Amino acid sequence: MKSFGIVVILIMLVGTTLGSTLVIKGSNTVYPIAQLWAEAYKEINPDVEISIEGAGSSTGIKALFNGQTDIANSSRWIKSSEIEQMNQDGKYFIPFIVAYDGIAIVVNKSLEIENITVQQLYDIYSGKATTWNQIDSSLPKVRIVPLSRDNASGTFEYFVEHVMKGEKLAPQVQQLASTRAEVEQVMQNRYAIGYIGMGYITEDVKALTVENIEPTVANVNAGAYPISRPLFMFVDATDGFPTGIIGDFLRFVLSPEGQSAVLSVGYVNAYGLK
Amino acid sequence: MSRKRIDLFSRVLVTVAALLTMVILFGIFFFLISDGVKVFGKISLKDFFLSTRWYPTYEDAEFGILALLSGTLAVTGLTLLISIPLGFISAIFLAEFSSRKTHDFLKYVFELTAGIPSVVLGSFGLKYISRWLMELFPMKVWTGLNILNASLMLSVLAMPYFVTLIEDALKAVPVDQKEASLALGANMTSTLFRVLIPQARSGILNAIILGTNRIVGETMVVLMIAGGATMIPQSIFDPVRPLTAAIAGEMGEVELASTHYFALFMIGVVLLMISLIFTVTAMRLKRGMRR
Repeated sequence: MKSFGIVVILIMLVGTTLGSTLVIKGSNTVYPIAQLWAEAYKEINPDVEISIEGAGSSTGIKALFNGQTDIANSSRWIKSSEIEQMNQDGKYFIPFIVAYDGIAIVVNKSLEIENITVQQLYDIYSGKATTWNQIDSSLPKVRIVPLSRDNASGTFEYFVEHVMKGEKLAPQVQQLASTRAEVEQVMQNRYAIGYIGMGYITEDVKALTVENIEPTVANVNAGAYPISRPLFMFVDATDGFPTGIIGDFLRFVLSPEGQSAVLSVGYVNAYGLK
Repeated sequence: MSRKRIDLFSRVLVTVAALLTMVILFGIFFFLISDGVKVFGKISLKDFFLSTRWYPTYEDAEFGILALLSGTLAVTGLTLLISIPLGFISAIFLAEFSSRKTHDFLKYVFELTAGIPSVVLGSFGLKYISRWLMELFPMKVWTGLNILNASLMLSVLAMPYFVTLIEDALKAVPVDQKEASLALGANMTSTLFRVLIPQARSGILNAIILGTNRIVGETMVVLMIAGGATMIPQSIFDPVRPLTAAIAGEMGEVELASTHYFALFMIGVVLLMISLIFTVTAMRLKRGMRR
């Protein structure tokens, strides 16, 4: 983290001497895609310096209030307390939906199940359902092997919040260090189930429909898929709609080129593509 | 410069270097412990050491490390059970029963093995061992990432330590003792068990200490393939989350100076203690043997 901080400082130093600097702060969930956009943007505009920091949505919005950032990444909508503070400070922040975070539920291809409900997911991950026949009586009475990401991951956080409603995962839930490891285990283990970012779905595993809704880009964009959420970038528009480098960067993010990069880090594009 | 001055200069240099190492070592101890103990301002000793519930990121967070600790002990224990006998036999073969050519070849192989990065072993366990375990024991293995998988890969890491160091210990036994035993009519087997091994036991114990500390501290392999479940294992096919895996998996995203942060440092202290207790016990044993 320290070396990362030094890099950020260096980038900022270089930025002040060479050209314009763009500061982006906020959500750890948005961080990987923001980084990708920054890299691509810099290729087109080599004299622009962009510093990105992943520190949590609240920290990003706080930084927007005291002018420490140009763009605040957020994986949640603005809170009422923040709206109040905006009124007090006479500020006006505007949101852009830049991508969606959709979570796919994956199982082994040979497991004869096509759909799962949020309640069933809750039962599996809280340890209330431990064998597959408890989910569907036509399935064998074999132990369910629930897989999860590490508790440091944003996907984990979202899953716990929205599927588990804050309740704790059962002790036997396996926390794996990477999405790749989860997919690998689901491929190997006929009775495993895992949740992964939608962009990571591969041919080798079966993505279930959740509440009979398919995990597709269209369904996520329409807000129909139950376990997905929009990812935001907030900017300060108190003195008018963002122009200059901030506006230009946002236009790039929302362009077909920017949006096509979204899937490669596991998220769902917000606009344009199927 | 006079001879005396040169002497003084090198003595100062050596002393400073030695002191520096000590300062660094105690510095690490100090910072680790001073951050670690802060966790007990928030939770009790009992809840930390005797609870199996490790839920550090929830609203009503829990920080019990018993399940994590049992994971470390289970993985280390099984690894020792696999790698010490194998390492011991290989070392005896290398030291006493192999021809020059086989000896050099095997030694080379072990040196190469020692150079395998642990992340490569982890990937291998993830992709292949996991699959093979499930195919071999389809009834017993409910997940391919488990204690056995991690222990097998850790054994690959630990074996070269045991082989090389135990072989060195056996070789360090004076040749005349061995020859005297053989001259008295003892065969090679009894010479080995009555003379060589007893004479080399202090070196063998040393090998076991070093190897065990390596296993306890190994992080990448257990993070990738030990299974990551925070449960007390009932069998070698159960998944576990050892202490090192918890630190590595969670330190990157932890909020600075939070209870979770201090708890992870305390886990570091616990790991340090495990290796300290182990080393001290072994040193005591060694001293007892010499008498």
